[in-house]
Amino acid sequence: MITQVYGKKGPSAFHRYDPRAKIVLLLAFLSLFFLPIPVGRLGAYLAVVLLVTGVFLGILNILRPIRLILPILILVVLLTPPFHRYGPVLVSIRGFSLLSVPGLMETLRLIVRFTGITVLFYLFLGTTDQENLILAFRWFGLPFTFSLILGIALEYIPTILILYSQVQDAHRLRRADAEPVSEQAHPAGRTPAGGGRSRGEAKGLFRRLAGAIPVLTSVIVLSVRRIPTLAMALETRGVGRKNRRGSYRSLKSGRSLLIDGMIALAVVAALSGSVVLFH
Amino acid sequence: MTPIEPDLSIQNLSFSYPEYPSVASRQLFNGLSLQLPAGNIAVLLARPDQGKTTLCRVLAGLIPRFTGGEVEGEVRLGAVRLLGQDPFRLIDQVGLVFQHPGEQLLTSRCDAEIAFALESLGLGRSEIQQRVTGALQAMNLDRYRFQSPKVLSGGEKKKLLIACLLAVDPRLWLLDETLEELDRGTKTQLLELLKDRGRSTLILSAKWHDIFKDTANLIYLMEGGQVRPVREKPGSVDFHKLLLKRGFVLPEEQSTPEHPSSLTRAVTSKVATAQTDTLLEARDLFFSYEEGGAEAASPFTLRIDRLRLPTGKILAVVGDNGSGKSTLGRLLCGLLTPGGGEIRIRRGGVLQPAAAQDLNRFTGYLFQDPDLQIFLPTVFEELALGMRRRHLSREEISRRVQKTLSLFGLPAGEAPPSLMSYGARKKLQAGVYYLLDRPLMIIDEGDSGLSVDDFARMIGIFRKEDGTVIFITHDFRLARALADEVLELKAGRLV
Amino acid sequence: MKTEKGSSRIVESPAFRVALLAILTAVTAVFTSVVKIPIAPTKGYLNLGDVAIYFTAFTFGPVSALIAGGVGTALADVLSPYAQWAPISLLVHGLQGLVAGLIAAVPLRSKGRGFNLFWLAAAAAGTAVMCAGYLAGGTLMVGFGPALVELPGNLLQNLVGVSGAIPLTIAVHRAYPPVAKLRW
Repeated sequence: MITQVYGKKGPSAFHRYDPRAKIVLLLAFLSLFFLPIPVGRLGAYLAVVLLVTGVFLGILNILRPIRLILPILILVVLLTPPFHRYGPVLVSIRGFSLLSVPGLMETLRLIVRFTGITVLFYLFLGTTDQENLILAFRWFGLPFTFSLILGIALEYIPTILILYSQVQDAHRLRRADAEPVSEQAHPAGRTPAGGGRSRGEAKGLFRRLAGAIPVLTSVIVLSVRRIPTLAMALETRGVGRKNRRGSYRSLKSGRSLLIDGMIALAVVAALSGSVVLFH
Repeated sequence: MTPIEPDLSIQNLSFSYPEYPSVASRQLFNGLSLQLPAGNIAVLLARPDQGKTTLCRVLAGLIPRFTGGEVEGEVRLGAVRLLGQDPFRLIDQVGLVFQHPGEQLLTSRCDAEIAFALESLGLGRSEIQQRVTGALQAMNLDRYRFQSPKVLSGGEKKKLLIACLLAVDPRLWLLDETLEELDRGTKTQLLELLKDRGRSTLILSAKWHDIFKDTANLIYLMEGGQVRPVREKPGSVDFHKLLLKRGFVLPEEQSTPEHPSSLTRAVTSKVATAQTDTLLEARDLFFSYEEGGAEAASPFTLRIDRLRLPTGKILAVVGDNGSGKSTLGRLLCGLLTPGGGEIRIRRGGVLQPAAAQDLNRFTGYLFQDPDLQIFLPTVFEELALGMRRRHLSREEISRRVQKTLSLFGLPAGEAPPSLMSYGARKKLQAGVYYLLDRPLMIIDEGDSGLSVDDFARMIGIFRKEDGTVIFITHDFRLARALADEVLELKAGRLV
Repeated sequence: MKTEKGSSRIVESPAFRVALLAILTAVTAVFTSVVKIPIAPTKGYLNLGDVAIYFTAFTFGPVSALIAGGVGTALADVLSPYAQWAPISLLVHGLQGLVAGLIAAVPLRSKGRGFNLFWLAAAAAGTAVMCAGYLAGGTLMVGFGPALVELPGNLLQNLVGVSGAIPLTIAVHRAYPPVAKLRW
């Protein structure tokens, strides 16, 4: 899955932390960023999250997610103040208020919120592997059928990706002598960056889409034809039986769960406490 | 002496796939009967498209459940009636290993894969864990316990599927072309294992493997919707003749121009010209996959000093899995760009350097999967597609399509490709490229899914004076039997 | 001698439903991830995810489109650098698929299987749901201004989605007629 994030060589304590408790903490912190708390304090909570990430995963892993969202944050800075021009003015040009105090506050709040959410997800997904995550969901009540759909979909994504690439190759070869050279490369592939929506570009877009239909059709037909085969495979492994299902593996209960759970509860208590106390 | 009760008893089985507009209902079995005594290992030989996979799935209850169609007859396993049962109720009675392992794998870990069916059976955890460990160790897969099945090779994936069956230990084992791709040691080990356990096993195969001689008790031939026991003794001359006649083994002797074997007769449809020109020449060809590429698990390099493709000839590129056969094929058709070296192709009578796009147009490539390029509703439209772009008249297009239909033995033009049999789709793929008429034709593992005769005929059709045919295979004997020249690849180098 | 006909109600078997939903989810995830034409810097690239969602809605029905659309796009987010959008994608695209599937299913009772105006109505409703959903969700995440800037991109995204889904659905039904039996 996404567990490509490792601290200094190998799994950290956070990797070993129980995924169920991690989910509780994730939800707690996420909701925190949506509460009407003063921005300053919100920033403090963000600092805590960043600190935890840095400690468990290294500084590089704080910078990486933030670097990815930098363009968005810039957009937030540019586009939030115009919608919050009430209140005491900070910056204005010729009487036109550009930035007001509430505008600034809201901008900061959104920056803190989005950064916090991003880093939280990064931390969460980067330290939990696929099976444990699905087992955790099941522990919280996700029905077996859904966990099966999820797990198999994840297994089939690379398969269908490879299929897509092979279909592109096969189609490209087949129509090679019919097309001018420039059209061949990727009918629905990547275009150079920059997205001016001029009419020429739009026409090119739809023409590329039309050119992609044969490839997409082959991919879909191939994928749909695998459905009965997959269903057969599932039934040869007993899916559909009415008896109670056994379980080969489940998340560790016992002492480590207790400890991790208590840690989670303690953190949630501390958070709630700090929210209420300083209100 | 008490008569041996048949464990598996198939009586008068008939099955036909459902009818669709323009696709005649395909009757696969017609009063098929087979009795398999308990504890016996039986081999069922059948050419491609005769219904091996369908038979397995009917026995497991999967067909006609998932495909539609009509089934008649009586099938019993001991006292249990198999037809009409839900497959998931039968998993401890009938175990099936799919022909394509990728289609049967469900999980992200090898041990979980084995445990899955045991969980469905509702066994207790320690029981499951015991059986999983036992199965992994029996098939020598313990080191892959926590890894994804995806990292396993084709043969290892089959071993994993066998391990899944071992853990459940059903009464009847159905192995659909399982022995292909397994090395000799594993084949022996598997058959010994089955013999020890005393499980009734039906092995379905399109080829005869020598190893059957010592381990199989019974041999059957499936043809024309029926099964008949083979009475000739394995290893005897009569037996070999029978298999030869039916296309299950290749002629051992080298065929000469004066005494061509029946196969090469099919291939040599045109008189080879005494003088050959060079169709394509490659020098200092170099290509490398970084670690973890799609094709190779470890870094892989292809290096060929000189390659010359003569016109009018049929070449075979052989090698084991991972030797670089497909890589070479993809380089020659421009799907991959070499990291170094040059490829020159014959245009206007002289050899000229060719870029990837030139090769795209120069080379035709039949992928192992014939469905990758099919997207139109009828055979006719698929065949006509390339020609429409060349602005040919409607009559001319129709004429060429009809010629291709008869040349390749394809069903009528109105048939929908996605509903045809696998072999028919392979022939359609070939027909499409026949009409595109490219100088260089590359056929990748075309012998899978086609009988040897059909494959030989296909190669013969593609052979032409001013072009070259290359077929890629891991079957060395087939290559020697059918090709004018054999190129062997080992770890990315020509041998 | 028993004659067993294939079950035409195979879509009711749990294994079949799991297989169908898993594969459609994977297809949606791939369509969402694979084709990227950058148009807006926030989330912002044009992708074929909506083609997959509308195709699923037209072909397989509302429930399939709900799950494949929601989970498929969420998985695509999770596997991309923009995992934080996954919960919103799950909700918004799930609803988009559900609504489009419900409307597109209406004429089936009177046996109209091919292209019809209900597909356009379904796409219109789906577009409304998707754009409104991302506007609301985006406002929560990055504020109203940036979310509004996304809106034209999302509209274009849906336009591409339905322009691709309609010919694709027709082509798939013609190339593989049995697909018509797989809706539930």
